[in-house]
Amino acid sequence: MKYSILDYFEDNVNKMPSKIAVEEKDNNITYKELCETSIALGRHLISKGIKKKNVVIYLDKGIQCVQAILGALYSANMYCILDVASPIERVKNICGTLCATVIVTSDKYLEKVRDSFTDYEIILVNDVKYEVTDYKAIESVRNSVIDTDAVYALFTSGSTGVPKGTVVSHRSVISYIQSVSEAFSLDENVIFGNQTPFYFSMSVLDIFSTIILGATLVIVPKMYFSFPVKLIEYLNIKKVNTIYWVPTAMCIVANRDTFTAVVPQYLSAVLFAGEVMPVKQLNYWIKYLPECKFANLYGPTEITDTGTYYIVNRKFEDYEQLPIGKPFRNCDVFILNSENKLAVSEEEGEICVRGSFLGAGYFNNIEKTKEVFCQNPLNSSYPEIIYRTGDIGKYNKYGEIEYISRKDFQIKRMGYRIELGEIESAVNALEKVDNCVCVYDSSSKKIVLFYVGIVNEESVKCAVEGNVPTYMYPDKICKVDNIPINPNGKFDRKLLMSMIKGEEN
Amino acid sequence: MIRDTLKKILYSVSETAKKYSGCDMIEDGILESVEIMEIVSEIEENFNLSVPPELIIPEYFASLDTLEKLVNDAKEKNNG
Repeated sequence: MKYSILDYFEDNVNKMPSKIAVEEKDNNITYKELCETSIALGRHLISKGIKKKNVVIYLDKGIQCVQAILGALYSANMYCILDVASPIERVKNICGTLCATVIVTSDKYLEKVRDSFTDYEIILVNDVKYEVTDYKAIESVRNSVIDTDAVYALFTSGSTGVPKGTVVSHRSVISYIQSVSEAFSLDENVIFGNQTPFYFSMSVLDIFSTIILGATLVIVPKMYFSFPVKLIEYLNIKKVNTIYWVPTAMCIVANRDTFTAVVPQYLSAVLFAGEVMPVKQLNYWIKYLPECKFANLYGPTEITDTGTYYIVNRKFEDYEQLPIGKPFRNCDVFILNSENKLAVSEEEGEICVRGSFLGAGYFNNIEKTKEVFCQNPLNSSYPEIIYRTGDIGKYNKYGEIEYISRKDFQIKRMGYRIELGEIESAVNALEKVDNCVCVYDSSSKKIVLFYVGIVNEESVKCAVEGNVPTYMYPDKICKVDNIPINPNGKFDRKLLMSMIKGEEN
Repeated sequence: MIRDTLKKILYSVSETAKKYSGCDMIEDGILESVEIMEIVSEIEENFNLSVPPELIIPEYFASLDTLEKLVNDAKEKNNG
């Protein structure tokens, strides 16, 4: 029986020790090497008394990061990957929520980490002695892991300005990967071309499909997404046959008409998720890669990664929207109407999920957990938790689920989930700002920040850039004399939105 | 003339580029992914040309000199 991700990993190490597990531009690591180095790191962590705790990983994505992930698992720890490009205050905030005491990093970030985390134990991944692998030293700790133990916590933007960390177990990850592999016939022959950052839930599919199936993970350098021809050439050099990207990345390729210069030679599966895929750009991909399987996946971090998929099997016009399809095997995705009853065809309601993909909840946030991980209203006989996504959807005439919009003000841009409230919190925190409102214009995909205060736009911009990640930067900052209030006494976001539209016209 | 327009484009797109004194903006991580796409769009708009995908490569985005070469090469491709 296999209970943890490590059971699957070791199986593959034994079956194909010399196979490449992870590949960077100029470097790679085999399954055997990855196993040995991860065990060494796990042993190092255990020797420092760090087991069954939280390990924070502050590394660029790549081989070292995968070693750190597995090292954390070998020492029965839960890991959390931080965005090295995020403002340090946000990173500290996350570490505070986690009550973490250990950071795994490399020489590259040592100075930054030392300056910002004075009370933390710092483990340098490049300092660990990899020569001796003493499996015995970690065996009892490693074997103490059960399938409901946490693998990781992934943090997403929170409405109060405090990021929320979804905790996901071995069981959820294993169950998810098994279902995804079945749906798309993924196996050890897969060579993933990874685009998404490791602190983003989409990377769970890339990383853990690789480890569990014995596939190969190719890290695509971020810079290549600015140079589409180089990007496709790189996929060809590395013989990448499967990608799971955010639509923005696919649109860069389509918008620059890249395939007139170079076409992917090995791609057989193109999966995408994270935001709505524009059909115009998808049709471009399909035109050049007619033999390829294209699939639209949907789901939030709270259900490990995704819960539904739609394999594109009919022609869509450029103005149409792709459905998010049907649930994966062993995952139930359904729509509840406003009366908490199953929605009928074409009736809008909240998309809800039940099953093993569900995360355990938010780390150190019982209140928020109870709000969205709650009792299934369709089952009054025994405790059964469902996750309420806050997304609105409906069943179309084909019985497929269609995504309509977010229920609240949370938005998705470039695949990242953004709570406008987090940007507002950062701006409101400024001394010379009285109040502010952020609105999102979905047609132009722009975040516009309105504020009242005695500070100029440039200063607000600088302050925002120091406090929120790049993908949350407002596209436009407007200083106004006052922010309109609606009859309910709330900021009138609709009026602000119409102001933007009026300006555009 | 081309250089002045390019300077205007580059500096309006990237604040960091304004202060940069090195010789390779890509190697030194001065330009973000979105900024590179923005520069291409601005070049196309300002010079009324289309930049073919094979010219969107790091070598052309290293400096103002290489951006100037990009405009000239794109013009040549457009005319050819």
